[in-house]
Amino acid sequence: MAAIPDILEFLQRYPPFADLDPAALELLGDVVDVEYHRAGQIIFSQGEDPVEFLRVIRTGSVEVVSDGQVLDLLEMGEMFGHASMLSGLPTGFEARAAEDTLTYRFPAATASQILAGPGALRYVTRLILEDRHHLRSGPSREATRDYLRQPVRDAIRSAPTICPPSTTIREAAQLMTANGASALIVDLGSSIGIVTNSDLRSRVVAEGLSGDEPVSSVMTAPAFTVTAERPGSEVLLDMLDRGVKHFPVTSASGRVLGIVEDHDLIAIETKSSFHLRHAIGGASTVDELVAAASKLRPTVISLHRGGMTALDVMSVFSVVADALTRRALDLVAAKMGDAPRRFTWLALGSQARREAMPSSDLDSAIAWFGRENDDEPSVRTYFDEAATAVTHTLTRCGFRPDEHRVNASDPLFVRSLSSWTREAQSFLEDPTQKKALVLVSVLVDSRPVWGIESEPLIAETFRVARSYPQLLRLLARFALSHKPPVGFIRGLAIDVAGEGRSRLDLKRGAVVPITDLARWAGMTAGVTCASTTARLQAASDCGTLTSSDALTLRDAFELTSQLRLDHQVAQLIAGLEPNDEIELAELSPLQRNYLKETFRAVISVQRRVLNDLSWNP
Amino acid sequence: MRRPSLLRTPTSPAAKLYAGTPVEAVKTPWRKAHYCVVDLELSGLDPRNDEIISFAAVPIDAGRVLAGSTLYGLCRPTRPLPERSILIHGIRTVDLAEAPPLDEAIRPLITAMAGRVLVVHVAWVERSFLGRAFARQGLRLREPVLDTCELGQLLALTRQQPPAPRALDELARSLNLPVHQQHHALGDALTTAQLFLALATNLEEYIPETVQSLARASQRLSSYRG
Repeated sequence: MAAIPDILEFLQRYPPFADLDPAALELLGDVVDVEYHRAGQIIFSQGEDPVEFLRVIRTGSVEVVSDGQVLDLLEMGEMFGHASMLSGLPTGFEARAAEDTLTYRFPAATASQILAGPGALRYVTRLILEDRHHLRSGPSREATRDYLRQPVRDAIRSAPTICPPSTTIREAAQLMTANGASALIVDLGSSIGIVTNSDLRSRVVAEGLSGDEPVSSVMTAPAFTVTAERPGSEVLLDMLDRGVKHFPVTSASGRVLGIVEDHDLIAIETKSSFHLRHAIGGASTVDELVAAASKLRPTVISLHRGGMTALDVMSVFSVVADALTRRALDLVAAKMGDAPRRFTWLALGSQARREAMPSSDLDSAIAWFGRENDDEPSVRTYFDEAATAVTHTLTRCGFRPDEHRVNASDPLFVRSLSSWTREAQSFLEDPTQKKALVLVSVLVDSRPVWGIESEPLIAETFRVARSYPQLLRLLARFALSHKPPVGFIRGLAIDVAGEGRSRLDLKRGAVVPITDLARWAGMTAGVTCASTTARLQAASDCGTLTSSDALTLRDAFELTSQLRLDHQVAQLIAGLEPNDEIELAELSPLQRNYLKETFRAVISVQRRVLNDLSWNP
Repeated sequence: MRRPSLLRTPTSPAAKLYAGTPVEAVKTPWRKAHYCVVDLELSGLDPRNDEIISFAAVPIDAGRVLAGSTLYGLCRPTRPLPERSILIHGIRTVDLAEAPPLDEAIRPLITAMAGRVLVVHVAWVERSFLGRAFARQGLRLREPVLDTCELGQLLALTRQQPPAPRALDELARSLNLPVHQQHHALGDALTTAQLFLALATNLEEYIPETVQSLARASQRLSSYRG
């Protein structure tokens, strides 16, 4: 038995084989089969069971065909079948030999092990999209990154130190030192409290408390706890959101298993987001806030460099954008005096979904609480001015003013809550009104970030959307009107009209078709404002989307988000203003290949949804 | 050296396996059959005086080349290699000093060929050299032997094209197939294996091909020509 050197040398000329170490390449050489396909022969069909082989073209070419249309031509060195193989999903297209073609074929078991380890397409994709993954390996970062993906239970380093509330502060400090713990659990019987090192510093030392006082006088109780099965990344975001660094971790039955700290979950460099949030909260002037906000972009770069996934970086970015918005409102309110009405500041769009990125506009709206038609000039003037001031501050903090003026500084988006909800209700009943579909999409993606957050929310009006089939049908068609490019030919992205462009707008071409579809699908499941992934999950649970379609869209969303973030981080590092326009030539052939497969997958889900609509009018 | 008798019975386990494993019935559709593609490097082309110095075997199952399950071996010649052969394949006498002698070296090849239809490029070379080596093991080379050179001529004629090149590399290139390391048994065997797939696949566009119909390439050629 021997692997054939010529075949290995050929593979080595093409990604991702170029990066494989010789031993891994040898393993592939041991299992490779050579196949010959006559021109016109179908290698695999669309919608077939997941393919069990990865194929690489040696000579000849292969057409990629979806629903009878040729989308692409793959040539020497290009691989195909990997998306289906790695994701375990049915094939999204037909592969047909365009001429007599020789291919190398690798069984899935070996290929996915070597290309991806046990993980799925997302993982491989990320590695390959990152292109820099070899710079990122290194034991500490790998370990850190793993904690973000694993249940938080795995990040617990030792058993908790627990004491009764009557313990003195001095004894508590000694216990913590002896156990090397930076936090202590206070057992309150039915609940628990927590005392951290920094509590001791700030509350005891700063306030001059005696060491003989009971520890209960400085604890935080009840402590916010997390259950052991939650993923590290979620827990980290909760920490960030709540501005705390320690969480007791409990079992399902409520037993305290240990404490996780922020640095158990993330690398040191990633902690900059905590410092940032702290600096934002402490800013007492607009200038200080602008200075604090200037750290946001470096933070994004370091989070990205630290290996955090795009979706997690987007969440962090959104949390920080929320904090900036709140502080900007605090400062404006302090300057302008009390508002004439209680009000809520609503984040819209990607910020509302917690999917904002450096290129995102911060869309917003104001809803004040008052009587129907409460539209006195003085009230409107106050809110118009406040909104303009906040928008101005946020622009100075580095957020683009919205191009489409979906913004609280636009009078259209400053209204009383009753006026908002009345309009929302009228859209439910008559979705054929002018601009109804655009506005419904805007209002469903709305989340209060300041003011009275417990009052009925505008987005909640749409929780009953299921009872309004006409609205849902129109929304679905609206969502389906955004189409990804159908493919790439010779370095051009080809849109549905057959036009080729050398630049691709990742947001319009890839993200919007997915988020729009997810919004509609979420509404059919009674979900209002939520993340794209949560909406897809709900739609899959209620059966609007098949679980494989929901998974396809989620993977596509993750992949394009990662690509957007990679692109924007590269722009930030180069000192450029981040945007979503990517030159196709910037992408490696493999990145293009993944992106193509993603577009195809999204297009076929769109097609199925459209089909369902036509059958169930 | 005692002249080996053709009636000698197989003694080694490899030889017994080869003798005891039947190959495909000749009527088997070509894709269903199991093949072994063999290429030899020689000290020269005279079967009485020249020797096998290296060999490679590449299996084909279900119409696919199992490129990870190949066999390659060297044989120590009984005489120094002529210079002109060294210029062709680059293997020197000294390179073979550690190699086992032919009778021993060839046993893994016999095992690899057991139960498989032999495929070679230009059959008379392998027929004569392998035939002699097999005879020394008390074996007779099994029929049929498929010849990609003949199959190449047959395809060209079937397609009403000018005669195909006879050289392995030129024939492979004419069909847009890769040419692997030339004058290296493993490279040539892989080139031949891929060539076989391409030829059989294309010939089947005209008639359903079986092991037998492919084996009868030269008869079919004469009937076309006649």
